[in-house]
Amino acid sequence: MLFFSFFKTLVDQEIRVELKNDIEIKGTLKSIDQFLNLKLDNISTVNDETKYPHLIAIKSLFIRGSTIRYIHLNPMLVDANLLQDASRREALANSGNRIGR
Amino acid sequence: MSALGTFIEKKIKVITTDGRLFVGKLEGYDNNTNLILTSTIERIFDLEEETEQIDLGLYIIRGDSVVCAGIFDEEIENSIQWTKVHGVQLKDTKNPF
Repeated sequence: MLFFSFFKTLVDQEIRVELKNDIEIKGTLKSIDQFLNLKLDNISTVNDETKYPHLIAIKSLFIRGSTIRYIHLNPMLVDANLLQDASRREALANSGNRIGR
Repeated sequence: MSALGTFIEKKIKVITTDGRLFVGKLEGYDNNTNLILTSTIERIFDLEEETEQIDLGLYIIRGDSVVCAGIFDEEIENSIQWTKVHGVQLKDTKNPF
Protein backbone atom coordinates (compact mmCIF):
# COMPACT_ATOMS: atom_id res chain seq x y z
CA MET A 1 0.00 0.00 0.00
CA LEU A 2 3.06 2.24 0.22
CA PHE A 3 3.03 3.36 -3.40
CA PHE A 4 -0.71 3.90 -3.28
CA SER A 5 -0.17 6.29 -0.35
CA PHE A 6 2.80 7.85 -2.12
CA PHE A 7 0.83 8.58 -5.28
CA LYS A 8 -2.01 10.00 -3.24
CA THR A 9 0.38 12.75 -2.14
CA LEU A 10 0.91 13.61 -5.83
CA VAL A 11 -2.75 14.34 -6.61
CA ASP A 12 -3.17 17.60 -8.57
CA GLN A 13 0.42 17.44 -9.79
CA GLU A 14 1.44 17.19 -13.44
CA ILE A 15 2.85 13.74 -14.30
CA ARG A 16 3.90 11.92 -17.46
CA VAL A 17 2.86 8.30 -17.92
CA GLU A 18 4.48 5.92 -20.36
CA LEU A 19 2.28 2.96 -21.27
CA LYS A 20 3.32 -0.51 -22.39
CA ASN A 21 2.03 0.28 -25.90
CA ASP A 22 4.69 3.04 -26.09
CA ILE A 23 2.19 5.90 -25.79
CA GLU A 24 3.21 8.71 -23.47
CA ILE A 25 0.59 10.90 -21.83
CA LYS A 26 1.00 14.10 -19.84
CA GLY A 27 -1.70 15.25 -17.48
CA THR A 28 -2.79 16.31 -14.02
CA LEU A 29 -3.18 13.38 -11.62
CA LYS A 30 -6.74 13.42 -10.33
CA SER A 31 -7.16 10.10 -8.62
CA ILE A 32 -5.47 6.82 -7.82
CA ASP A 33 -6.69 3.50 -6.41
CA GLN A 34 -5.14 0.39 -4.89
CA PHE A 35 -4.38 -1.12 -8.32
CA LEU A 36 -2.50 2.07 -9.23
CA ASN A 37 -5.19 2.83 -11.79
CA LEU A 38 -4.86 6.53 -12.55
CA LYS A 39 -7.20 9.28 -13.65
CA LEU A 40 -5.61 12.19 -15.48
CA ASP A 41 -7.21 15.49 -16.46
CA ASN A 42 -6.19 17.91 -19.25
CA ILE A 43 -4.22 15.22 -21.01
CA SER A 44 -1.94 15.62 -23.99
CA THR A 45 0.05 12.97 -25.79
CA VAL A 46 3.81 13.33 -26.01
CA ASN A 47 3.77 11.23 -29.20
CA ASP A 48 3.07 12.81 -32.57
CA GLU A 49 -0.70 13.39 -32.71
CA THR A 50 -0.80 13.12 -36.50
CA LYS A 51 0.45 9.55 -36.18
CA TYR A 52 -1.58 8.71 -33.07
CA PRO A 53 -5.04 10.31 -33.46
CA HIS A 54 -6.60 7.86 -31.01
CA LEU A 55 -6.71 10.16 -28.01
CA ILE A 56 -7.83 13.34 -29.82
CA ALA A 57 -10.56 15.34 -27.98
CA ILE A 58 -10.18 13.36 -24.75
CA LYS A 59 -10.46 15.59 -21.69
CA SER A 60 -10.17 13.15 -18.85
CA LEU A 61 -8.51 9.75 -19.07
CA PHE A 62 -8.67 6.65 -16.88
CA ILE A 63 -5.54 4.48 -17.19
CA ARG A 64 -5.48 0.88 -16.02
CA GLY A 65 -2.53 0.39 -13.65
CA SER A 66 -1.49 -2.91 -15.23
CA THR A 67 -0.69 -1.25 -18.57
CA ILE A 68 1.65 1.39 -17.17
CA ARG A 69 5.36 0.97 -17.88
CA TYR A 70 6.75 4.13 -16.23
CA ILE A 71 5.48 7.17 -14.41
CA HIS A 72 7.79 10.15 -14.88
CA LEU A 73 7.72 12.53 -11.93
CA ASN A 74 9.22 15.89 -11.25
CA PRO A 75 12.18 15.17 -8.90
CA MET A 76 11.14 18.22 -6.86
CA LEU A 77 7.98 16.35 -5.82
CA VAL A 78 9.74 13.26 -4.49
CA ASP A 79 11.91 12.73 -1.45
CA ALA A 80 13.73 9.67 -2.77
CA ASN A 81 15.50 8.93 0.53
CA LEU A 82 12.26 9.00 2.47
CA LEU A 83 10.58 6.73 -0.11
CA GLN A 84 13.50 4.30 -0.02
CA ASP A 85 13.41 4.12 3.78
CA ALA A 86 9.67 3.63 3.79
CA SER A 87 9.78 0.85 1.17
CA ARG A 88 12.55 -0.97 3.12
CA ARG A 89 10.51 -0.70 6.28
CA GLU A 90 7.43 -2.04 4.52
CA ALA A 91 9.40 -4.93 2.99
CA LEU A 92 10.77 -5.76 6.43
CA ALA A 93 7.33 -5.63 8.02
CA ASN A 94 5.91 -7.91 5.29
CA SER A 95 8.67 -10.50 5.67
CA GLY A 96 8.02 -10.47 9.44
CA ASN A 97 4.34 -11.23 8.81
CA ARG A 98 5.21 -14.21 6.67
CA ILE A 99 7.40 -15.77 9.38
CA GLY A 100 4.64 -15.13 11.92
CA ARG A 101 2.15 -17.11 9.84
CA MET B 1 -12.37 2.41 -8.49
CA SER B 2 -14.78 5.29 -8.33
CA ALA B 3 -12.60 6.92 -10.98
CA LEU B 4 -14.79 5.44 -13.71
CA GLY B 5 -17.95 6.55 -11.91
CA THR B 6 -17.68 10.01 -13.43
CA PHE B 7 -17.72 8.45 -16.94
CA ILE B 8 -20.97 6.53 -16.49
CA GLU B 9 -23.64 7.14 -19.15
CA LYS B 10 -21.17 9.24 -21.11
CA LYS B 11 -19.51 8.51 -24.43
CA ILE B 12 -15.99 7.24 -23.93
CA LYS B 13 -13.08 6.02 -26.01
CA VAL B 14 -11.39 2.82 -24.94
CA ILE B 15 -7.99 1.55 -26.08
CA THR B 16 -7.42 -2.18 -25.63
CA THR B 17 -4.22 -4.15 -25.07
CA ASP B 18 -4.24 -5.34 -28.70
CA GLY B 19 -4.15 -1.71 -29.86
CA ARG B 20 -7.78 -1.29 -30.96
CA LEU B 21 -9.95 1.77 -30.35
CA PHE B 22 -13.60 1.57 -29.35
CA VAL B 23 -16.04 4.45 -28.92
CA GLY B 24 -19.28 3.89 -27.04
CA LYS B 25 -21.52 4.88 -24.17
CA LEU B 26 -20.40 3.50 -20.81
CA GLU B 27 -23.34 1.70 -19.20
CA GLY B 28 -21.48 -0.09 -16.46
CA TYR B 29 -18.17 -1.22 -15.04
CA ASP B 30 -16.79 -3.18 -12.11
CA ASN B 31 -13.70 -3.51 -9.95
CA ASN B 32 -11.83 -5.46 -12.62
CA THR B 33 -12.37 -2.65 -15.18
CA ASN B 34 -14.81 -4.84 -17.11
CA LEU B 35 -16.75 -2.34 -19.22
CA ILE B 36 -20.23 -2.42 -20.74
CA LEU B 37 -20.56 -0.18 -23.79
CA THR B 38 -23.60 0.50 -25.96
CA SER B 39 -23.71 1.98 -29.48
CA THR B 40 -20.11 0.93 -29.78
CA ILE B 41 -18.06 1.57 -32.89
CA GLU B 42 -14.55 0.46 -33.65
CA ARG B 43 -12.34 2.91 -35.50
CA ILE B 44 -9.43 1.61 -37.52
CA PHE B 45 -6.84 4.16 -38.58
CA ASP B 46 -4.45 3.71 -41.45
CA LEU B 47 -1.64 5.88 -42.80
CA GLU B 48 -2.99 5.87 -46.39
CA GLU B 49 -6.47 4.35 -46.44
CA GLU B 50 -9.61 6.06 -45.15
CA THR B 51 -10.48 5.40 -41.54
CA GLU B 52 -12.80 2.44 -41.21
CA GLN B 53 -15.71 2.58 -38.77
CA ILE B 54 -17.39 -0.64 -37.72
CA ASP B 55 -20.70 -0.63 -35.85
CA LEU B 56 -20.64 -3.17 -33.05
CA GLY B 57 -23.58 -2.21 -30.82
CA LEU B 58 -23.51 -3.66 -27.31
CA TYR B 59 -20.02 -4.63 -26.26
CA ILE B 60 -18.54 -5.98 -23.06
CA ILE B 61 -14.81 -5.49 -22.76
CA ARG B 62 -12.98 -7.68 -20.29
CA GLY B 63 -11.01 -5.65 -17.77
CA ASP B 64 -7.65 -7.23 -18.37
CA SER B 65 -7.68 -6.07 -21.98
CA VAL B 66 -8.40 -2.42 -21.17
CA VAL B 67 -5.48 0.01 -21.49
CA CYS B 68 -7.26 3.30 -20.95
CA ALA B 69 -10.68 4.92 -21.19
CA GLY B 70 -11.43 8.60 -21.56
CA ILE B 71 -14.34 10.97 -21.87
CA PHE B 72 -14.02 13.37 -24.76
CA ASP B 73 -15.30 16.75 -25.85
CA GLU B 74 -18.24 15.87 -28.13
CA GLU B 75 -18.08 19.20 -29.96
CA ILE B 76 -14.48 18.63 -31.03
CA GLU B 77 -15.23 14.96 -31.73
CA ASN B 78 -18.18 15.74 -34.00
CA SER B 79 -16.32 18.49 -35.84
CA ILE B 80 -13.68 15.99 -36.99
CA GLN B 81 -14.13 14.18 -40.30
CA TRP B 82 -12.82 10.88 -39.06
CA THR B 83 -12.64 9.21 -42.47
CA LYS B 84 -10.00 11.78 -43.45
CA VAL B 85 -7.85 11.24 -40.36
CA HIS B 86 -4.82 9.03 -40.78
CA GLY B 87 -2.80 7.26 -38.15
CA VAL B 88 -0.72 4.24 -37.38
CA GLN B 89 -1.98 1.06 -35.81
CA LEU B 90 -1.27 1.21 -32.07
CA LYS B 91 1.09 -1.38 -30.65
CA ASP B 92 -0.20 -3.97 -28.24
CA THR B 93 1.05 -3.93 -24.66
CA LYS B 94 2.99 -7.16 -24.95
CA ASN B 95 5.81 -5.98 -27.19
CA PRO B 96 9.19 -6.67 -25.59
CA PHE B 97 10.60 -3.34 -26.89
